[in-house]
Amino acid sequence: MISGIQNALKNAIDVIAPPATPLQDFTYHWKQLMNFYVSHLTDCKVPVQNTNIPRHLDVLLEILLQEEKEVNEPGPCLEYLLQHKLLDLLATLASAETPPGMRTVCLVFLRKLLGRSKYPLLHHASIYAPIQRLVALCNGNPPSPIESEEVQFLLTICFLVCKYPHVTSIINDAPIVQTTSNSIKKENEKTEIQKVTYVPTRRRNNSNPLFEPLDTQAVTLINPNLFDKEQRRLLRSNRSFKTTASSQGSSRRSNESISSREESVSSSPLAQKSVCDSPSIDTKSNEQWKEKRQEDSSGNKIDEHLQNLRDLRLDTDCNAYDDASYVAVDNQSLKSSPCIPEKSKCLLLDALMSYLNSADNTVRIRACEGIMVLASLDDPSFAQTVARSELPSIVTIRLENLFNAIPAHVDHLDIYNVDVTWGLDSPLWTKEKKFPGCRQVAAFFMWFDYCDQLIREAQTEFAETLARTIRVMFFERIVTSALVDHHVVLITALVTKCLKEITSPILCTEVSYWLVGQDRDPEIPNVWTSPVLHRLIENCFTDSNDLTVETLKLFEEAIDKRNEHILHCLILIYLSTRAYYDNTAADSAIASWSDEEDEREKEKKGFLDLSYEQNHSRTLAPSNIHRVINCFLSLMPRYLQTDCDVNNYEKYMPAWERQYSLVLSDCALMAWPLEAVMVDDSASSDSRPEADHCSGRFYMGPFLSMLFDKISNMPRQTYEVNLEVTGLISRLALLPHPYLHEFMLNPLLPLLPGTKSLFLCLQKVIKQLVSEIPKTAESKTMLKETRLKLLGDCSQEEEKENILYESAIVTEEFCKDLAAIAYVKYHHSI
Amino acid sequence: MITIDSKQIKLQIWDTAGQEAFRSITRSYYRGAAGALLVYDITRRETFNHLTTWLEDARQHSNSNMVIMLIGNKSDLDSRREVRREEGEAFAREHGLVFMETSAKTAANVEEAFINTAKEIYEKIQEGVFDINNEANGIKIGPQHSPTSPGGLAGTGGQGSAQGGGCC
Repeated sequence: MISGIQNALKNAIDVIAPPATPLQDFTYHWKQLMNFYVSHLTDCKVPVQNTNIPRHLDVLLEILLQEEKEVNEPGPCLEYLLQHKLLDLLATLASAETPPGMRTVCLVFLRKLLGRSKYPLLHHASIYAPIQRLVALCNGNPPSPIESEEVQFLLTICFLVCKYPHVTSIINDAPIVQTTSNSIKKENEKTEIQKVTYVPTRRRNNSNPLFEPLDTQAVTLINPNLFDKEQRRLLRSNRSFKTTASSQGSSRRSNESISSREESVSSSPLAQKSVCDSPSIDTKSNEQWKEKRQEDSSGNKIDEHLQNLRDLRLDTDCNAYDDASYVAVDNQSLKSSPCIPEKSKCLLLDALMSYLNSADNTVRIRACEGIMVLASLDDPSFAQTVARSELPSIVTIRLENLFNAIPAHVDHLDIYNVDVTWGLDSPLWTKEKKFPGCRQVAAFFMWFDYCDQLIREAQTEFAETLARTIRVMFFERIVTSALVDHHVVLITALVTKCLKEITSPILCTEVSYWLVGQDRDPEIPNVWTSPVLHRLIENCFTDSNDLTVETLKLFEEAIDKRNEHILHCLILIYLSTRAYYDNTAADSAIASWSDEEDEREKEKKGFLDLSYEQNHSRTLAPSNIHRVINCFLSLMPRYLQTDCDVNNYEKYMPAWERQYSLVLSDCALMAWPLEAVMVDDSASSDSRPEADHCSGRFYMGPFLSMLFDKISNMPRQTYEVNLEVTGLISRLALLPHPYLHEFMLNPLLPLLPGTKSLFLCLQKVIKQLVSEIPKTAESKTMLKETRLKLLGDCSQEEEKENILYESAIVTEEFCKDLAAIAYVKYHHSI
Repeated sequence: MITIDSKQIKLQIWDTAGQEAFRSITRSYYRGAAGALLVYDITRRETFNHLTTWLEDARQHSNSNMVIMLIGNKSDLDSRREVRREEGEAFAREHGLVFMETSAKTAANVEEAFINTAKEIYEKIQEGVFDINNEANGIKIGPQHSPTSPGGLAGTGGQGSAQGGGCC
């Protein structure tokens, strides 16, 4: 109601004294702004904030945005802005920094205009050309005092590129020198055409080519065979546009020719013109490339067609308007197959990359955001551009530098607690001194997190390139050699933490290549093919307790990644032939070990009812589960047991239950077999195994060998090492792989003579414990005390060395753990 | 810095862009956040309609205990309202969110929105839902044992970034 009255009132006033039209206002303020330069021709040292320029720009912006709100189609002020190339002039002023501070003001103006406008303005030549020049101005290397404004501006452009993905083309910049002259000529043509034909008509609507998608690929694609085609293009151009002689002349002096173009807009600040013009030249050459490429790829017939189109365009010019994109859109239909650009450069990406090493955290994070947005852009050709840019190596070099900056004296135990993400501020780690070197460690992991997230979010091609670069340039070149130096404990801890933090499958795959090599074949005993794995396993056998523990932790983390390649190369490849299995024993002693095998034999015979209950593995759920569990539980002789309740293994079950559900879902896609059966089931295999297996050719691989050595050595190892080894084996035992399962968890399995197994190792350990721990009441108390100390909460003061007793406790609990795991897996599989 | 229960709580707030294309970043930021404000524009129905996808995204990429507030912004423009208050409330009820209408322009309820989020997080800490020793959930204990939450995420449900920025 009230607003209705207000409107009526306003209308009445408008009739009496019509206010200045927005366009009049707009031109007024623009002219006022320009007046500054007229009156300060020689002296431009006044800081921009002391001039009226910012105010005029604010008003201009306001008028433009107001106009957008009121009219549904581009209004006269916007037309004016486009037609008179106001932004071009602003870009020139910004690059010249006249008056001082002008750059900031211009960046703000453009950021707001582009960010708030509802039109995808970026298409338009008179917008993207100046934008490109400004983007090229933004460079964080060396750091600029206005970098935060610059990076915000860049981020806005990123945002626009995301919003209107078809404009990626304009942020691309083809680095072509040879074509400069040609492009200038073309540019001048266009300028001229526009001068003639640009009609600020009301006929604009949604189908206006200005606001239609410009085809990205067409614009960014570059023909590798530049020069040859260039000639053809030149000839043709001469044919079609007969009036280009003069512009060709001027094109030889490229900068001047641009100046001459700008002279049509304004004259005063041109003395300040700098080299920053090149981007705009290249923009035009992009256009040039587009058309040229199309000619090249489509052959002569299309050449002619194109020629017709070009002529057609000249005709339509007379009627309405012209824009390069018009041709682009039309030609799109002719384009048959996009060819791959040889090399393309993206101005915006280059600019953003220059801020990646900025000292200002916020600036760097903004740049990171921008890069992440660009890298995740769903545009195949642009994704390729990003993948082929310097980005992967810049990101990796930063990772390397941050890694090298970590002081050697950092305590490896502190590493695990560090918790940072790339974008969120973590003052606890970056500002406070939690431990010496904390900041450097945090900085490294923040960057590592960014790498991981970037790979996760980016398009596949770039993601793979970056991940590969990180593997080759960081892990292989830097980390591998560090695994032997003085600080190997710290390095191992850092790698473990890295493994832990990885969430992106692509990065995980690359790191797995580093860790176990790319070769998926089994290693021959004592012949090492994977240097890193070799090194790590050797590190497990050094005198250093810390190093052993850290390396085992690293392996644990690697297993926890549940990466198919890692599991395959470390363990599964050695077990998948079931070479440990004693077929002859199975035949003769079938009654003595289990009924699962003959159950399976039965099933095999009736193989046709395959559909029945195929999701449940009989290997994982043997019907003799109670015997299996009993084997583990009765391993430890009574008098060495400190836990009175033998069935206490059940207390471990809930934890393994939870873990197993996770493991199952993680491993669901690994295509592991359901049952452990002989690979070669034919009759011949029954007769041959002696030749193959009995010669003791089963090799469990370096990793399992190492683990079994460690298990056998339990009575001699520290509590920490034993805890790690047993923990690691429990994790392996939990995996739902039938061969691994029966090898680890089925003590009743007939094994080839001489084959080590987990159960046999444990038997040996217990034998040793029995022989070394005296059967006295005193040692029984000692054991109980040790148990309390290790498992209870009470932290008694450190007693004298009792590795033996500690081992006994660990062994006892480990046996229960294995029983619990066997039961949990059984329970899940029935 | 706000005070709840006479404890100083420091909020770290990120304004993420509401645009579809910025999702890659938003996803990255969800990790480690303790709370999020999902903002829609009551004068634009489509921002309300987008909420479901934003909510899914937030739930999928964050800690399952993340506190999510639903905010209907621009309550000053009641005349141009397209989404009724009851609809917002119903949506919030259905998805277990806390609902409020705010106006970034008049600052109505803006501070309350953040304080309520913090309170909600604080209550969850008291209940022991958030393990404050595990920093992966975005809560950090300050030197004087006052929990600080870096996790305010202001997700703008399809609002323009300019308006979204206005309320934070």
